[in-house]
Amino acid sequence: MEINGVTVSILLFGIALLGLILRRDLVVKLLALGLINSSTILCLVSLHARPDGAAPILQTPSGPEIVDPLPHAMVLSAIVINFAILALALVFVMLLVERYHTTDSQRIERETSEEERS
Amino acid sequence: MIGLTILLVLLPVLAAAALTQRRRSSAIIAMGLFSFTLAGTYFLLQAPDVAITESAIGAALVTSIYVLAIRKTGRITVVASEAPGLLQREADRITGLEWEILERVARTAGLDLSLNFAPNEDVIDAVRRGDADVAAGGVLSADCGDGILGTGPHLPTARYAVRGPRWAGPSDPRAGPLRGYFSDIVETVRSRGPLCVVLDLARFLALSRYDLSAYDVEQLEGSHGYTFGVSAAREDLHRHFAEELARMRESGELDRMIARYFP
Amino acid sequence: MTRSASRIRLLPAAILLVGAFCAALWLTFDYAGPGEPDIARWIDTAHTTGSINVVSAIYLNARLFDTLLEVLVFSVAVLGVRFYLDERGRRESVESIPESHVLRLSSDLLLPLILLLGIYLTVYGHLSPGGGFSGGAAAGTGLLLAAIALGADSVAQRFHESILERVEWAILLCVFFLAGISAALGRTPLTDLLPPGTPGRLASGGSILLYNILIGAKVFIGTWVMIHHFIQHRGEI
Repeated sequence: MEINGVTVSILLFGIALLGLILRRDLVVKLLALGLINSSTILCLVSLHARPDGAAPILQTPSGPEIVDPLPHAMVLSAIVINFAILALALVFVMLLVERYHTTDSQRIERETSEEERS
Repeated sequence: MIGLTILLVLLPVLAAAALTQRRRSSAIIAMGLFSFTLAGTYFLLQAPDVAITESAIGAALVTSIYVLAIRKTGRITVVASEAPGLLQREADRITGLEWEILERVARTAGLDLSLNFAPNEDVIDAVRRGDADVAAGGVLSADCGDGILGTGPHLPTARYAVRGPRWAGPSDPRAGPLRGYFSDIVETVRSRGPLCVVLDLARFLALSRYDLSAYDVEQLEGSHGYTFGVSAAREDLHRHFAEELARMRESGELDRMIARYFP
Repeated sequence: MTRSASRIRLLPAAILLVGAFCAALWLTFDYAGPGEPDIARWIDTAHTTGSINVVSAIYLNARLFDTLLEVLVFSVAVLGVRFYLDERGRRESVESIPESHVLRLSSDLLLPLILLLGIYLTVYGHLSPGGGFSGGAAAGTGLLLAAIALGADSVAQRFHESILERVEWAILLCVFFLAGISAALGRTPLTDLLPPGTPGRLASGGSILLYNILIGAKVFIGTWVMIHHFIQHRGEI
């Protein structure tokens, strides 16, 4: 098993998923979701990456072959969208915390189920 | 090549460290550090566009937005465990004797009051860690250890041990302190489950509204008092609490408040 | 991690499941993929637009559609932040950090640099790594620094909320309009309007320069609006 970007990204995905399940704090859950996103992006970028290749900027003297630029383009949009959706999710967390006075996800679940019952 | 391997090995270590931090703010800063390392990794993987975008958005913007979203300074952060009569939630509002005292103190100090509920065993820890400034909700003066300054007791209380039927727990016959939320205990009593807990007077009074015939109730000896646990880092807050409580005690207002909640 | 007695079995179960999932992912991962990537095609795309940055040429020329919708998603997210953090929770005036000499001095030095860096990244998007997204984000972070050092209210006075909103939606319409003209004039697939100049000079790259500037301005305004709403909701900086 060699240490390349793909294995590390799978490991990161596992760590983030564990953090998402086991931590109770809502803000840390959001951090774990962002980490899942980052691990996927790392996997995409490092699939066909050659560290001895050249960056995808065309220079006139011909050097080594450039790496595949398509995943870079896809991933750029993904990073920006990740940030935008994260900001929106943080807005909801802020509103929840204001209403229930706690960031404990289990307690918020219990309060909402009690409200639904009554 | 070797730099890339080092960075790649560093990434899961940083991520695991970030997600196992106890404080929220430490986790956020550690994730910012992870984003920076990730940007360096992208650079070494010959992806400069992705590296610049990840460092500008992931490391700078995401971290600053998280920091802006958690409120911290300029306020009194209170972490409390539920205690009926002292500090409890009713529908949308928070009521209770300690809540009124806290509101009064915050108003005279000119600070904003922010209250968070937490499981009982976390309350003192949160103040000791520095996550919150004040512990409330049925805190006994015996619970405050070092690092926590207790304000003078504002209400005397006693401790009760409630032991339930068929307690198949640890072999220690003495009951343990309250863990988790008080509403869990209420549920257990309502469903007549096994129970072995030490409660203070306010919680015990609330619990005795339910049928406790299946349980063994014993009043433990010793006299205790309810207090607020203020973190030792906020000396000024502690002084303010003490002054305000003394003022309320003299003017008799404290007794009036107590009479309203515990007739 | 806090655990109460009833959930003590969650930790080993979670580790087991997640570990099994990751092992399954790792074992079934196809490293080779569907063959070698076709890099020559992208180099051709870069040559037709005249830009040196191949990644810019891809996401602003060959795959312009993805970028358009991505800008739309960003706008909707900013709209959502603006909608949900409405007047109810907003504090009247924002308190700022007490005056600090270090802060004022360092912001005097750094603020022009950061804004200049943002403009540079945006405008040179077709010649070196960067582009509209990172340039706009860097400039937005610079405005955050300005808000910390000079006070959020004074920065908000120079960038009026209503004007910002109109400019943001105008930019979005411009971007869609440009892309629509390209499609209507029959240049498939959504290629540039301006002619490609000599590669390596600033005035090259076709309409990539135009798109970069528009997207950079859009991300800059969107970031500032989001941050400003967060600050106002929080009540202090």
